[in-house]
Amino acid sequence: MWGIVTVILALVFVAPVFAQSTADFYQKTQTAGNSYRQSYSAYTTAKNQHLKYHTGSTRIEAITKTNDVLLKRNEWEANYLSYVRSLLADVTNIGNYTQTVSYLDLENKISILNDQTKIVGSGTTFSEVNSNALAWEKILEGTTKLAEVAQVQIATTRITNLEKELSDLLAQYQNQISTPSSDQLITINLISQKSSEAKSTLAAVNSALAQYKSGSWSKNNQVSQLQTVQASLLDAAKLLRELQRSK
Amino acid sequence: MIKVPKILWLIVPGIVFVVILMLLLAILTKKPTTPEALQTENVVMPTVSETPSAGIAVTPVDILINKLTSLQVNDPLLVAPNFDRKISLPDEE
Repeated sequence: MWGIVTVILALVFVAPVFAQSTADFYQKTQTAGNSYRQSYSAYTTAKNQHLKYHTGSTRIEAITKTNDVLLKRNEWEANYLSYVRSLLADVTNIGNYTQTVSYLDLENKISILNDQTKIVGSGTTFSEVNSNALAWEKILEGTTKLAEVAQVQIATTRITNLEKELSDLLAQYQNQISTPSSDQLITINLISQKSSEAKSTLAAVNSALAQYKSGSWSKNNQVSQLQTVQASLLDAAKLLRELQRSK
Repeated sequence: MIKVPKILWLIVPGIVFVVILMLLLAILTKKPTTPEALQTENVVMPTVSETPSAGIAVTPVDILINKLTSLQVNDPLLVAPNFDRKISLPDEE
């Protein structure tokens, strides 16, 4: 009985942690970004003051402000990755293997960055501060690629959903028109063709995403393909609108 | 065997009931969505067509066109940090 009560009370306290929505993470990322920019400005001032005066107090101020900006930088990145992770979970299908892999990789990175809070702001000499900053920047190298992969996964899933919407709307239109004219038929075929091409390109982008760890994956290539699909689907949707209006 | 006071048999189910109610409310309450999600998924925006369309109702295709137009492919998150600037202090003498 007491075991059940303990579990329930634990749930009461733990539940709010899991209840953080994507919007919360978005807001936190915005706030952390603003905070970082303020700290960066303070760090630049303190560093310049020390370069100018070289006193004991300017030295301490430079170390303090640099430690602070390093912490804020870490906080911004951790919040941003939490936002990416949350949005990825909202938008995509967790049953998809590659999306699940990048989700777990994001979890891992967030945990590493959270551990960094004890290290990055603790330098007491210039060399310690610099060494902490460099070590953190090494972590960032892999993190940037991971965030880009998640971004492309989010965009790909959104476009895939929009392509499906277009196909459904076209099917509805075809059901309403029992005997289309030859002009209508040409336009319908053109829309179907654009839709199929979009599907093939999206499949290629997904296939490339599955190999993102191999090293050859590049965000720019994938984004350019997605932009082509976006433009093509937009043309197709406009054609469908004209068809509906001329009915 | 430890004898549990009878009053606890009333209090504990009460707590359990309240907790379950709170969890149900938390699950059923609609969460706010991000600005990006609002743009692309939930909001039906009236200014969809490129040509003036006074008197023409907004159709599902208009909504789809709007979603396709507003979709940010390059940075769907819009808040990616930029850490191009390195942080370092000069060498100490």
